[in-house]
Amino acid sequence: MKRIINLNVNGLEHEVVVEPHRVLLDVLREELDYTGAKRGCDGTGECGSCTVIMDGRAVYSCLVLAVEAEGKEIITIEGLARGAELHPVQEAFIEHGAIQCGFCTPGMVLTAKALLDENRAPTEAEVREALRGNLCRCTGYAKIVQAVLAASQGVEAA
Amino acid sequence: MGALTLLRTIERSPRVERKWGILSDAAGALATLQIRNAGTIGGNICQTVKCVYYNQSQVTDFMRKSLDPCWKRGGAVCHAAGEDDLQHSMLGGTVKGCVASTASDMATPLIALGGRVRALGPGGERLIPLEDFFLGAGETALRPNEIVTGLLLPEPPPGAGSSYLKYSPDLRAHAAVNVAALVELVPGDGVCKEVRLVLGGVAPTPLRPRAEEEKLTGEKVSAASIEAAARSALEGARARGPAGRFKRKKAEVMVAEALRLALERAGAGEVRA
Repeated sequence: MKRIINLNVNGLEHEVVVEPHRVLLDVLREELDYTGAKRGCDGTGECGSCTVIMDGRAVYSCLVLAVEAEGKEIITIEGLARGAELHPVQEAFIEHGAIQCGFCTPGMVLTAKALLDENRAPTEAEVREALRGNLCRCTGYAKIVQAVLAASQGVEAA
Repeated sequence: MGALTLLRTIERSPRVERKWGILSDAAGALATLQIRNAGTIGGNICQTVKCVYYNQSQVTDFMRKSLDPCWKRGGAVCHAAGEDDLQHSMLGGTVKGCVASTASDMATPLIALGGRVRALGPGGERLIPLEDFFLGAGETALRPNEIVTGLLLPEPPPGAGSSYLKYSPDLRAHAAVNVAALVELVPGDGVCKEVRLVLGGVAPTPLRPRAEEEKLTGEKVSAASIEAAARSALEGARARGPAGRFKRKKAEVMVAEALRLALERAGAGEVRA
């Protein structure tokens, strides 16, 4: 039986009607048109492309029930930029060539943001460790890691 | 520790890192950041087996083979039984026909730390030592009408040294082998007062080789006695081919390394032959 829930996404409240078994990923994409989060591994929590930030924690939205997300603050990739002003992590990804097909990018950027919010000056090992749960088929990760480190220096300086 | 404590919280808590360091280590080595941000300690210890033949969820030609359901699924076969791989137990028997090992990574350090499960049912609460909690074949000692509300962890003896090591071919996966060791030395002379050793992934339930623990207790431990304990702990391990042989050797090496590290941290200095 469907339930009416309130989801707070990128600072906006949305009222949606969902079956209890629906996962946050699908509700974000299908009910709310936030298609940045991707269904890369068919909802098994193995690729990271569905990553969103929920109450400050990077989580796999494919493994969170939509009803669980009520009352929590959700940030998707769509919520990072302030109008035309990109988040430092987004800037760094572009500058360092860390985006090829772009499929993993929303998840990578959000995980990186969650890392930097917690640890302003991570080592390379810490960056790689934090991104363990985000797979990329294109880049071989080198540029992604460089971008995150560069972004952390930018954040430090700010 | 409440059952809903996030694995990420266990990983990052300064208090846990200080007093129950191997729990932090194990949590940090588990899965990925996103999973640790949602996974709980209660859920982790109650999980069922992760055998691919039981799950049959991999979308590969493996799945298209439509293998008959196994013992755990009400069938009468175990497809893993004759296989050479890194994932199943190599010591001990089967449990209800099942050779899968306990999937919980956290089981290993929790047993080494002497933790107990708080189980709540209609009759009230009972405490279940973690060593008795895992029954094999993905089953736990919980009765059908009980839930886990938390864990009780005694403080390790002051000055004890402990270590946790994990091996899995994919860093995001659960351990193919993991080892937790805890050593307390008699102050002053480097003799072992207590040795606790737990091996995950090699038997249907986490293995506690008591004979090897006893042999090291009351002794001033050398590299040779560590090696002997590691070999002896894995004696009889079934290896059907290269993967099994690798797993057995890997487990031996990890046991030795875990003991060495625990001894060093207990203040033994570098262990010499």
